[in-house]
Amino acid sequence: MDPVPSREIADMSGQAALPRKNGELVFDEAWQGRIFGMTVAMSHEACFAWREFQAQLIAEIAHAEREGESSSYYERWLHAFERLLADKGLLDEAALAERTLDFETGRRDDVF
Amino acid sequence: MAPIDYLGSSYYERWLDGNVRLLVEKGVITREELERRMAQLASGTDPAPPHSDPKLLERMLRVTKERPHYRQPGPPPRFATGDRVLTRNDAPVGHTRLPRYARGKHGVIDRVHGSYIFPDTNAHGQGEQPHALYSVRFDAAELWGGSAEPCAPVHLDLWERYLEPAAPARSTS
Amino acid sequence: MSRAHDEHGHHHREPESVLSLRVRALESLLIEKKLVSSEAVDRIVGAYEQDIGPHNGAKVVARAWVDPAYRQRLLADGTAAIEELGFGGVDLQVVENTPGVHNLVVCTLCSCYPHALIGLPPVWYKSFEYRSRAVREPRVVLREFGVDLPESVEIRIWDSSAELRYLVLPQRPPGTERLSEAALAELVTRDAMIGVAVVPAPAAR
Repeated sequence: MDPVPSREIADMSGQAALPRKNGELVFDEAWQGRIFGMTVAMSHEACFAWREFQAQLIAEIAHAEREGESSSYYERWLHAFERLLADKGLLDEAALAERTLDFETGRRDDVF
Repeated sequence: MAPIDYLGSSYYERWLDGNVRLLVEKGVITREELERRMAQLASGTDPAPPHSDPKLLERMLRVTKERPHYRQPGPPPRFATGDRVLTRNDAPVGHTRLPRYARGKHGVIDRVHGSYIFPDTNAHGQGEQPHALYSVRFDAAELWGGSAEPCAPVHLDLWERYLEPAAPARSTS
Repeated sequence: MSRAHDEHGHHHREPESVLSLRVRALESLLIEKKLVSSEAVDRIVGAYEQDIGPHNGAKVVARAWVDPAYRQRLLADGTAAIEELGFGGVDLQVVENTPGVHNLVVCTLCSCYPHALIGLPPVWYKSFEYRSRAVREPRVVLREFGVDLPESVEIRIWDSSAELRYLVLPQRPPGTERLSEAALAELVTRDAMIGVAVVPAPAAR
């Protein structure tokens, strides 16, 4: 069975376009694929409309460009995703900071 | 931060560069179409609205083996391969798949594809009205005039309702 | 299917990046809240990394190159011919490049594209510039892509204005007579199947 990319993902354009090469998405590092997958999965679960995320991403990219930040595409994606989740009351930034520390110190290891 | 700020002035200037001005002059696009597209981008109203189907992931990852539903039986085709046709020149109301650059132009039927649902009516709740779809070939000079590149014909997939019979071309060679 | 933690250097010494840690933390929180499942993320990443790409179209091209009868069927009825290879769901027209004809695909009205066969469209394909110039000045556009064609070669532009999708069958490059079908498929690029590139001869050994 052949998978077909969703129209929403294929239609993202301009600076918001997903990095790709020869028709395939490019993830330089594993975390990029994970954050991409999480965003897509949650949009399919109707936690938010894809269009909402797209708007957030465009805003994030514009902000980063204006501030002259050298952040990468997926870093901006991550910020946009976090902001969207926070706006929806689905994410507590403090909880995220603490959980990140858990992983950094090795207190936690697995993502179950 | 509104998306419109993303499309800063430098972006708009790109749209107005020489090529685009030429295209507006040649009628490939109109200023209205250009501005409408700009407004679409600014407001985030993507021409392809996302699905809200909860099973979208499954559909996304699977391709149906069925023939697409937009092929539906219709009346026998009026035209045959090799027939010369003229595309209609009226500005249609609403959705249409006849690009502006190909209106009121002479072409030749390259292939009879079969009967397909007609988006012009289907998109406006006037029914699917499937009928013959053709591949129509247009000479570059017919579309773009004297400055056209040689040997660069354009083929469009056009419904029969966009087409009228045209007299055979007089030989020009 | 690999899990995030496997790729994050369990057995390596180098420190995990801040971003990588943050993403793991985020996934962990979202899973706890049952907003997402690891399996769903795995499947999506896997699909986009492995399954969605031009390799399907490349297989079709390679089969047409080695099997003349298949090539005829492909040109006569693309939709049915790709189903023979297990691909489907797209109303397909295949157009063949020859020494005298070069084909180029565009969608001026929007950006229709045979996703199932060649993956994600390149960003430029959806651009206003490509969509307006490919119909109007294809020879110039092709030259910008590095394809220089003499005026004696006809450039056929296919503007996919209806539901049919177009795939270019590129010319088989010289020096490939000994290659297997799988090796031939490796040579075929997405750009060649759109028509903005030719398939180059493999590098000499």
